[in-house]
Amino acid sequence: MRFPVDEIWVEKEAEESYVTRRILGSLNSAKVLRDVDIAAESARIDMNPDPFVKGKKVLKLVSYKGAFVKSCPGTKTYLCCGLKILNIGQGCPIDCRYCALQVYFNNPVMEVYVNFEEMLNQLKVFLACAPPDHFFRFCTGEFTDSLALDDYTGYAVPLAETFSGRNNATLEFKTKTDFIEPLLRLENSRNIILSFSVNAPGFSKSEEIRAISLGRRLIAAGRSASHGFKVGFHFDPIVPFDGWEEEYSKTIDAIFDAVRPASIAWISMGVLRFVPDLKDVVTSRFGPVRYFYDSFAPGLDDKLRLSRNRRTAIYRSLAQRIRSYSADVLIYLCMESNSIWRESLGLDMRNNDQLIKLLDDAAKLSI
Amino acid sequence: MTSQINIRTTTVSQSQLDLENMDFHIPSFEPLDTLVASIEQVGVLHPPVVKETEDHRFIPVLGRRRLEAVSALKAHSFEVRVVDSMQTDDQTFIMAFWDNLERIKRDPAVRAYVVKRLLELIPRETLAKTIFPFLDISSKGPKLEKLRKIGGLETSLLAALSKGRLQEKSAGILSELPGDQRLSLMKLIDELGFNANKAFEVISHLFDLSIYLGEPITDMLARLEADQIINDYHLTVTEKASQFRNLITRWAFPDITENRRIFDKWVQDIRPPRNVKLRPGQSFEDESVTIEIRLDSRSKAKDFLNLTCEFQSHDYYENG
Repeated sequence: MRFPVDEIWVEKEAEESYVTRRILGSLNSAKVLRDVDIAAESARIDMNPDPFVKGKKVLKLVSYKGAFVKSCPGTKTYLCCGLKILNIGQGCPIDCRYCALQVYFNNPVMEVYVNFEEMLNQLKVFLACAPPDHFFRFCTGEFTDSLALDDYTGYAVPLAETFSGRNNATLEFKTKTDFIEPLLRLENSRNIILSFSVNAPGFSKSEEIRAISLGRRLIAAGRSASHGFKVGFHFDPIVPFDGWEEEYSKTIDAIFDAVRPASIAWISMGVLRFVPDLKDVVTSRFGPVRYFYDSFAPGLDDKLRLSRNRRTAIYRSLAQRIRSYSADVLIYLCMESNSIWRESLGLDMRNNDQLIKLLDDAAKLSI
Repeated sequence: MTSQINIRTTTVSQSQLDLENMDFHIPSFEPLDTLVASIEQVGVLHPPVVKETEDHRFIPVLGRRRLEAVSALKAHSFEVRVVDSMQTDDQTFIMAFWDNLERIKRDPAVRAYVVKRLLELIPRETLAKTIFPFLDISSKGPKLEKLRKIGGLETSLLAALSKGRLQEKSAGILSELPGDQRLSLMKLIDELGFNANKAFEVISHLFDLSIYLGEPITDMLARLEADQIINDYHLTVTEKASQFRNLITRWAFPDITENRRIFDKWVQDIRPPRNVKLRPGQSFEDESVTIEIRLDSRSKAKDFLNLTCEFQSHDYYENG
């Protein structure tokens, strides 16, 4: 399956790229815009009361001028896992109603960075210049879905090959799709973690518009594990809707039905938190979305969060269910404080370094 | 839109004026009495601009308030300037827009009303290029839609926004409510004398609760707990407002309210000196406590800081 693309916008600097040629070749029914037409069409989309409706079917091919290797924009006030981002593009064809990217980027269209050789070079230089004792966990799924556009870009395989065999880095693909076929054809699965964003079944169906169904994602996770890949699962955002405990338990049961614990690199959890502006954007696009109107109060980073008591109860409940299947599988919390770690997982996570080591050690098992 | 406008001057009678017509209305929330007094003494120095309809009535374009004042003074006839009847509604409204630009920029209620009217008359793309930059409005994002909705609020609510009794974000929330609910809520806000900040707090919490619980605000206000406060005639307005605000906060944030109660009790038990204030971490997200000490001189402050050196050496700072 491919996500539909109605228009391709080709920036002038992107025209010569072989990635551009490949994408144009594989999407020959899409309308192609260049230069001035892009500016005019962009302005037209911006005028739309919901620019994402069209934006999520527009692929803009960009020769990216910024840094391809970035640190995850965590905050100082909560524990951060030290993830490195490999920036392959921004925006995604899936339209999750809760998606934070709706407010982070000033652009409703999807961007693919087509200067792939430059991306690889920057990555190789970064890894080569790193101090010998440093270890890096990379992920491509922070500003876009890692695999949603891979059928057009073909980035996943060469990126995986770039990481394979290294002793100082792993690459995590994070996705709400099951587009794993090219990766399954790789000769080896070393240094790669195939992660799936998961949620409660009903919530996923109603809130993750155009995402591949949870069931298919879990089948893909099972196949990935069978091919020797370490797999990850990210419960983020967790939303305590009526009946949440039972519904999230169903997903946990399904995960362990699909994958043996030994194949799981980690399971992360993060209760919904958001910058205040997101609520306005979501409301303007979808009308009032009930769970955004729960008791959210400003946290230490000024993002809105549910109370500590509620978050702790949620994490504890999910962790307990996970532990009923495996005492060893690594569970971590995304952007939480030590007190929450202690109260919900019983772990004293005093600083970022401790968390980074925990995850690095888990990632190294994939090498 | 046009760059040249043809205008002729004529005299019209009061009966020919159509003050009910709001086609080119740019609202004002200032009382009319000063203008009436001034016109009574010196007359109308600058004739208002009107547009003639097919049935030979005259609609205000510029200077509606002057026309209302003249009308209040029951003048029989007066001089007006009449725009070309071929001029379209959008051209005429734009004329009123430019004439009132500074006021539109200054007053959020007027700005919202004008944005709503502009969006009714002129395509958004045209406005984005020609008008919105002068209002510092981005055509992207939810802001424009919110302004349009605010612009459609009842005059009493727009007046509250204009006078600063309501913040723009409060008006935005009220614009999402059915008319009867927002008017009831605003009536209560006025009765309890909330300032704009506290009004926002109460309005936003009630709105969030209403969406989350699927319960109309009017039903929440009719709950026994709220009703008892609102209708307790032994309480002063200030006491009522304080108790009502506390109630709404408790409804909206039960956990935080409980944490606050426990924290306040703890502060009470340790009885800090009167010049010391203790504050919990934001939303009780962590166990931190900020100690605020008011000292009456720099030398005392310095002495106090020296005393805290012992704390520093024991790693009380930062890491707790």
